[in-house]
Amino acid sequence: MTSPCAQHSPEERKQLKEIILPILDDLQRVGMELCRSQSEAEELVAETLVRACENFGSLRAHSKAKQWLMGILTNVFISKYRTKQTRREVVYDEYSDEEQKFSLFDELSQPFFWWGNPEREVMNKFLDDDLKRAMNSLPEESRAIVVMCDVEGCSYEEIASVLTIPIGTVRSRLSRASSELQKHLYDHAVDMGWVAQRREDRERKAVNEQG
Amino acid sequence: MSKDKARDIDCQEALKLVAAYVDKQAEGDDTEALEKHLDSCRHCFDRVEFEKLFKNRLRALKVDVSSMNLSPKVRQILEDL
Repeated sequence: MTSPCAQHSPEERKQLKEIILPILDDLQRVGMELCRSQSEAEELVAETLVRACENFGSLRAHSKAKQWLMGILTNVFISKYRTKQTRREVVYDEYSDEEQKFSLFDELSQPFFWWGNPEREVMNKFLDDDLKRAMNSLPEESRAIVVMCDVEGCSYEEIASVLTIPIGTVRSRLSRASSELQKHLYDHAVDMGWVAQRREDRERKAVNEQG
Repeated sequence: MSKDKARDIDCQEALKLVAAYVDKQAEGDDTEALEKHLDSCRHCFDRVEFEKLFKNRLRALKVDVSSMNLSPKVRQILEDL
C-alpha cells in the first residue's frame, strides 16, 4: 500500500511532521473521548493523519494547524462512525426555544424543600462510567460538541472554527446535545431506582389522588 | 460593569442565559445581569449550581494519554514522513 505521504516532497513531509508531532497527544486524547474504545480511537487518529497527509495543500497557515487537525479528526469521526440509527440526525441547525428541552434540574429539583438538593444528590450518585456511557449513546454530532465544549473546555468560537459552523449553530447544537445527554442520565437514574417516576407522572398521580 | 448597574431580568430570561454563563461564554452584560438575578433568586441560583456541578463532572472525563503508546499504524505514518 502506498504511503499517504508518498505524494509529498521531503520538505513537505518535514513540515507535516513538525505540525503533527506537537498535536499528537491532543488528537489521541480527543479521539479517546469521542470513541467507545481505544482501538476505535487509534483507528480514528490514524485515519486523521492519513487525511491530513492527503489534504496538506488545504492548510493555509501553519499557525492554524491544531484547528485544522482537530477539524479533520471530528469530521472523520462524525462521518465515519455515524451508525445507521443516527443517520437520520442530519440537520441540527434550527432548534427553537419553544421546543421542550429535557433538563435534569427541572425534572429533579424540589423548589419547596429547603433541607436538600435532590438534583445534586442524584448527580453525585453517577459514576464517571455512567457519564461516559451516556455520552457514548449520543449521536456522533452531539457527542463531538459535548466533548469539545464540556470535556475539553473549548470556547464557542474555537468550536465554530473547528467544525466550520456559525457560533449560533454551536449554541443550538450544544443545547440539544445537553438535553439528550441529560435524558440518558435521567433514564439511568430511573433504572437504578434513584428516581421513582417522571415528574409529570408523579404530578398526574397526585392530581388523580386528589380528585 | 458592576452588578448594580446591570439590567434586571426575570427567571425566564435568566434561564436563557444559564448555559452560556456556565460555559463562561456569556456575551455583553449578560453575566452581570444573571449574577444580579442570582443574588435574589434561590431557584435560579440552584439551577446554576447544578449546571456547574454537571459541567465539572463532564470536565473530569478528560482522558490522560501520557502513558498511552502510539498505535502501530500511527507510528508507521509518522515514520514515512
